[in-house]
Amino acid sequence: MLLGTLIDVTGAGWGRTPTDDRVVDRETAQRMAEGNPEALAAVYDRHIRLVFGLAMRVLQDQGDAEDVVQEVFSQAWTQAKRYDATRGSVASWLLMMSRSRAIDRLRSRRAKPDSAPLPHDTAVVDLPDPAQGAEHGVLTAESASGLRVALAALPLTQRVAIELAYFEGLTQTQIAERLEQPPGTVKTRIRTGLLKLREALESE
Amino acid sequence: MGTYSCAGSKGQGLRENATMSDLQHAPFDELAALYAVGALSENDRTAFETHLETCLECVSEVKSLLPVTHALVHGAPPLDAPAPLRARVLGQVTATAPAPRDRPEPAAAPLDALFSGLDEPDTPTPFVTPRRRGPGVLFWLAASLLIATTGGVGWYVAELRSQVQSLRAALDAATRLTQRAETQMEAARAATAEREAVLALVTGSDVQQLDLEGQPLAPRASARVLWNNAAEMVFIATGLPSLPAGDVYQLWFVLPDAPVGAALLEPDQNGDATVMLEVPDTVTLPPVMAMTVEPAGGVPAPTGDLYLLGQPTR
Repeated sequence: MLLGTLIDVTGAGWGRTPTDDRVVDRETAQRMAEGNPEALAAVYDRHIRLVFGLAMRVLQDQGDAEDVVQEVFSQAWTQAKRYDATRGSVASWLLMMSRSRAIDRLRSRRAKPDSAPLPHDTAVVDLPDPAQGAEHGVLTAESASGLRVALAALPLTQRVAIELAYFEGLTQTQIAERLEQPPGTVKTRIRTGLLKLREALESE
Repeated sequence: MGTYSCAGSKGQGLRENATMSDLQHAPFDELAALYAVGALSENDRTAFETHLETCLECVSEVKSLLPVTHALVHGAPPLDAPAPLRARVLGQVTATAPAPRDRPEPAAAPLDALFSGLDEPDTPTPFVTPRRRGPGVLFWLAASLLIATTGGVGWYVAELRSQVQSLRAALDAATRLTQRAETQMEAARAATAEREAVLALVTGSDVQQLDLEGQPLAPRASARVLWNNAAEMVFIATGLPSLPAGDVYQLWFVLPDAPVGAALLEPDQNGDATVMLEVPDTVTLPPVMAMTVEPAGGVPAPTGDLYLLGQPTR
């Protein structure tokens, strides 16, 4: 249950409880399902920084990220009736849609030979430095602080491998080529890193 | 999958599937983390999902890691979006109507039972019987239980439900096609068996025959009945006129006291008909045979016009 609690504080202000957020999420989604534009605006205002941040993290391109934002909120609007607040936060719902659409777009971009080259080594260059967390919003009210802290606390090699897979949609083989490491090493780094994250989150 | 090392930890796994040998499991060992984080190629992912349906140890590891990878979605730093984006998104999105809330859900089916537990946090995770093939949906049902009960990305369950409903519809369609194919195959098999029986009979060394002649109502019709010493008999007719709906040809063994029904016939579009006959004990061979037109379903004694008649020359 700790993980669920952790996830559910995402998007909440400090001092708000997960129960408060669930109520807000449920009511907002219900109003969206009824076609209330103000509800959509409220969801946008509350979560846009998370959604846009994730889309930018994956795509590294503002135009593409804005397109993903458009698609995600469009999907949320048309599928609001399917949202069930007892099963997760609106933030998680939006972010999972964002990642899925952004990764799809990224892979599609990779498949085009004449497309702009991918930002190599972004995982290394652009990783937020744990020491500069505040600048990256790690400690803001909108962050899932536990996850961020745990991720930032991972050894760099493990964090890079996980982020290349999760945020850039690379396979084990592609990560191995990118990092010039054997596939077995990549597998070990990802697995060890995930187990550490799990341990950190469960101890929250 | 052969590129993955097989050395692995079994430490926290729950090896409960007695049929899964180490040899079968080895190629997939430690792939759960790659799977959970989305780092398997499409082919490897498909193979691993197939493996998941028979390996509780791997399912257990994936289930323990999925909440972590789902939480990772919060790992990207939030960013301020360009201000004009808000008006553009809200304007375009609200120009389309949201999906109606009261759209009826498809009728519940057995697979839904797997979802029913999602509302009960204490419901044990069902591990499903291995299937022959599939996209691993049943595994996902099991894996998603943990997510749902921990309050994570439960909307995913709705996606799964939708996927399962699509799969179920496809399965129903495939089942209907299979049943139809089996019915046709059965009919073909029966027809083949009858053809073989007819062929064996008419080519046998002990075959005897009697010809039936078309009567004035069907002057171009003719028929032949053949039988052997085992009293196996086949009736073959040709040139039969087509009948109005509600009428049928009925064939008779003509006995001294009363005719006995032999068969009902529905000729094909060419007026041909072939049927194997059972010879009642009361019939003396060679028989006297006649064919009349009777109401559909046949009658116990002939009432209609005579179309064919055959009797042995004494």
